[in-house]
Amino acid sequence: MTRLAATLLALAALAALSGAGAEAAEPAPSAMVQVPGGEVALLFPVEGEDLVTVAPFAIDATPVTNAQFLAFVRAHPEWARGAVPRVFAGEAYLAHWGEDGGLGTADPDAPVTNVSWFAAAAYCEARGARLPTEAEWELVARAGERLTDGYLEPGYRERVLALVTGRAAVPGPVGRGEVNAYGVRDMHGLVWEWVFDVGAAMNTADSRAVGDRRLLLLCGGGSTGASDTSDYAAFLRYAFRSGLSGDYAGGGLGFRCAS
Amino acid sequence: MRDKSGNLPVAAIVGGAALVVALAVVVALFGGRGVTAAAPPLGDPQVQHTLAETPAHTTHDLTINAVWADRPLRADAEDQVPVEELPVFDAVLGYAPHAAPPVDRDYRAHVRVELEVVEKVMELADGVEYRFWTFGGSVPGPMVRVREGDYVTFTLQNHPSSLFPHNIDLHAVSGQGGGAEATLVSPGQQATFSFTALNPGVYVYHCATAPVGMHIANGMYGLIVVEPKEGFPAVDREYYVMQGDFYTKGDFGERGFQEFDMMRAIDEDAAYVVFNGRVGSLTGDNALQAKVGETVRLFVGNGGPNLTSSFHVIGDVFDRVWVEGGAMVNRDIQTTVIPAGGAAVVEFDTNVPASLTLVDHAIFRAFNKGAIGSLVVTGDEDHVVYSGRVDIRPYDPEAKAGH
Repeated sequence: MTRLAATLLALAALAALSGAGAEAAEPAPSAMVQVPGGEVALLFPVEGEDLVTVAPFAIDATPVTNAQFLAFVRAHPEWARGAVPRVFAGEAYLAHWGEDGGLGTADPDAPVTNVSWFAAAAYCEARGARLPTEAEWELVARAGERLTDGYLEPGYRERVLALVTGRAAVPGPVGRGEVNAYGVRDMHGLVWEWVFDVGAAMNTADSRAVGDRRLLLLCGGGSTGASDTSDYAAFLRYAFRSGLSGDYAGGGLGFRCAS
Repeated sequence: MRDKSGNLPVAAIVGGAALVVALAVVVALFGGRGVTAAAPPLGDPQVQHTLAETPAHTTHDLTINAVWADRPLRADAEDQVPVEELPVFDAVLGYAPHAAPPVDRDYRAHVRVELEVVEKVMELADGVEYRFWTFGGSVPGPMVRVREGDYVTFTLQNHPSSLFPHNIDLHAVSGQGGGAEATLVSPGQQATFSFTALNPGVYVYHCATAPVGMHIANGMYGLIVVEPKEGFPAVDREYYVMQGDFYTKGDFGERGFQEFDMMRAIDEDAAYVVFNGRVGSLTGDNALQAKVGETVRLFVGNGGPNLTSSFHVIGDVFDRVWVEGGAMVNRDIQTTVIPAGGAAVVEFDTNVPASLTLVDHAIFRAFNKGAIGSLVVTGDEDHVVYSGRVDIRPYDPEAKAGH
C-alpha cells in the first residue's frame, strides 16, 4: 500500500472513530453574540417604569444542546438523572435521554429540554456564565429579521406567532432556524427558554400584590395593563413563564446562557 | 257674549277651549273604535297600569319563570351536610353531540371531574387541517353535568405533548377566575380545585390563559350543566351543540394546513362559523335523529370567541326556550339569541317527518361559513299540520287578469 493510501486510510479511520465517539468528545463551545444593550418594554410594565434599561451583555447564539449538556453532566455527575434531588429537578428531568445516562436516541444537536431552572443555572455557572435576565432575553427576542425593534417590521408579530405555534413536538437541531438582527438564532422557533428571573413580570415590591399580578395573565385581565395587546407570541411566552416553578422540566423548555 | 268692544271675555274663551279639549279627549278615548274596552286615562293615580289588569289584553302569563327562579340557594338541610360526609361519584361526561346523561339522584353529592387538555391537529373542514387546542380531545369539550348544590372536585390535566400552558374558567363557578386562578398547568402538569355548584343553569367553560382569545379561538370551550334540585323535565331526546367561530389565514374552504390568524380574530373576520368544531359535524351521516311525536331538547352553547348566534331551526318552532340557559322560559320562539360565552336550551315537539336544519340565522354564516346542521325527524306524516305541495301548474298573469 502506498504511503498516501495508508495516510488516507488512517485519516478515514480517525474520522470514523471520532464519529463513533461523538458522545464522548467535547462539544464545540457556544458562540456568543455581543448585544449592545438598550431599553426594552416588557409586556407588563411595572408601574412608573415603561422601559427597562439593559446594560450591554453577551448571549449564546443558539440554545444549549443535548451534547453540550451531556458533557456538563459527565463533568458534574451530581446533576445526572437520578442523582439530583427532586426539589432541584422534577420527575421528567432528562426523560428524553437514554437509560444508561447517555443521549440514547436524542439528537445531540437539538436543544436540551426536560431541564429545570436549577439545572440550567448550574450549567451556565459551570461555564462561567449565567442565565439571561427576562429583560435581556426580551430585548433580544424583540429583534426582527433586519431591525432590532421588530415591531417596526410589517408582519413581525404574525411571523413570530407562526414560529411559536408551528414548533415541532420534538425540536430539531439548533442553528438552522430564524436568525434575528442581532445574529441570534432560534429565539422563537424551537423551544421555550428559561430566564434567570422567571417570575419577574409577576412580582412587585408589594408582596401582597404578587398574586394579583399573576392574575393579570388570566381571564382577560392580561389585556389590561399590557403594553401591546396584539403581540400574541409575547402573551403566550409570558403566560408560559407564569406557570413555571424552579423544578419544572418539560419537553418544550430549554435555555441558553448569557454573560 | 261679546262685550261692548266686541271682544270675547276671557272666561268665555277659556270655557270654549275647555269644551273643545274635553270633546277631543272624548273622541280620542272613545271615537274610532269600539267602546268595549275603555282604557283608563293615563296619569290617573288611582289606576295601576299593568298588563295583567288591562282588560283589552289577553293576559300573557307573566309567571313564566321556572320553579327554580326565586328559590334561595343552599338553604336546604342537605346543603349543610359537611363535604366529607357526601357520597362520592365520578362524573359521566357527554361528548358532543351527545349530552351527558341526566342527573338521576335527588340528593347532594361530591362529584369528581377530570379533564385532559390535548393540542392536536384535526380537520376543520374536508381537506382543511387546523391545530386545535382541546378539552378532552374534541371541540367542544365534553359536557359536564351535576346537580345544584353538588360539591365538585375538578382536576385539569395538561398533556406533556402540549406546547402551551392552559387552565379553565367554568362560568358556573363562583370564585377567582371561575377556577382559572387555581388550574394554570404547564405541559405535563395537573391541578385540582373544588367548588360548590351554587346556581342552577347551563354554563360555558373555556380556557382563560393569555392570550385568552387565541385559546378560545382554537377550540377550548364546552358546557357544564347544573340541574336544579328537582331536575329538568324529562324529554325524549337531548343533544349537545356548540357554535364557534374560527380565524384562519386562508379563506373558507382553502385546503391544507391552516394557521390561526391573529389579525382576523381581532377584526372579528371569521373564516369559519361552525357547530361542534368543524364543517359538516351535524350533516349527512352525522345528522341528529328524532322521531315524530318526540320532544327534543338541544343544549346549545356558543364558545365564540367573537360572534353572537341567531339560533334557528328551519322547519320547526321552539316550543320552549330557556332564555340564556337560565330559569326564564320563553314560548313559541323562532330564533333565539345566544351570546358569545353563553348558552340557551331549546325544546320542540316534533309533529311531522322532516329534515330540520339548524342554522345561525345570520344567514351567510350558515351557507358560506359552515354554521349549518341537520336533525332528521322520521315517522308518520300529518297532512293537516303540513300537507306538502298539493298542486303545481303553470302560472300565467294574463290569464289571471282576465278573471
